[in-house]
Amino acid sequence: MKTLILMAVLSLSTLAHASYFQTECSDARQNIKYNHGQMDNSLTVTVNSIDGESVPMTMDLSNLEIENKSETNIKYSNVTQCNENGGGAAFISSTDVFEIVITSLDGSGFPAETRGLSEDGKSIEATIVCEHQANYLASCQPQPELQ
Amino acid sequence: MKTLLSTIALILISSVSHASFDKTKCGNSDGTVLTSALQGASGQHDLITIDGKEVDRRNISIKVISESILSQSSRDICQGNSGHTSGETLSVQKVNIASTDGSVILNGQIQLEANLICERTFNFLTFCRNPE
Repeated sequence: MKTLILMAVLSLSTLAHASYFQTECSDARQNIKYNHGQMDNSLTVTVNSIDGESVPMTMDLSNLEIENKSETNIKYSNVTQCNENGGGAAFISSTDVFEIVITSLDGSGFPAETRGLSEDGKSIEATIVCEHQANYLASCQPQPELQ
Repeated sequence: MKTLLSTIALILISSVSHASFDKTKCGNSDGTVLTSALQGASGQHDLITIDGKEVDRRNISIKVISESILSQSSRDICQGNSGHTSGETLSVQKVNIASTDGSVILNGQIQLEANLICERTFNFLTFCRNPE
């Protein structure tokens, strides 16, 4: 029984380490930085300080809605590498551009000095480029032999 | 008369140069590559920042491998025969950045490829043929 539990724990541990995904996004001026995935989940906006300096401000993601208004794929790659035992790994990478609108779930506005702020101060709009990286364990089916 | 004409010409040139600019700012998704180009009366520059450090532009070549225009717009605003054209272009560029002096750019590499999102804004004085 202990052996079974140990094997299960080892298997889960292997699976957990084998898969990975992370997306990093930013707009052209680096006013908005939006990351989501296993390593980093954060949204940073830029606020103009009184002396004109740009100050990054990390937002509370739990109180935000990030709506995709449009999405354009620039590049997509999905490569599976197989080993002799029929196992393997898939590596995915993509580059996309999103037009996003950020609003507060509670309806509150954002600081007036926030870059990209809408006229009513209730939303932040941005066009961001995102790089997505992912990999996971993949089973490699043997290819049927050609007749 | 000459003085008056010279003064008018100077004022006009001054207005033109102050009103005109063409600036483009680009950055990749993680902010490791940033470029900024400006041409205008307030000055001009052509800067590149890699991993937070400004790199001497003379030692860097930037080649645009591909470009995809996401949106572009421009408008003429006229007052009589004079006016200005202003506009914006949003694009994505795949670029190859290489050091021309063999120095390392990032992570031990002397060249890298990056997908940049670019915002170009411009404003030019223009002659309006059909004044409103």
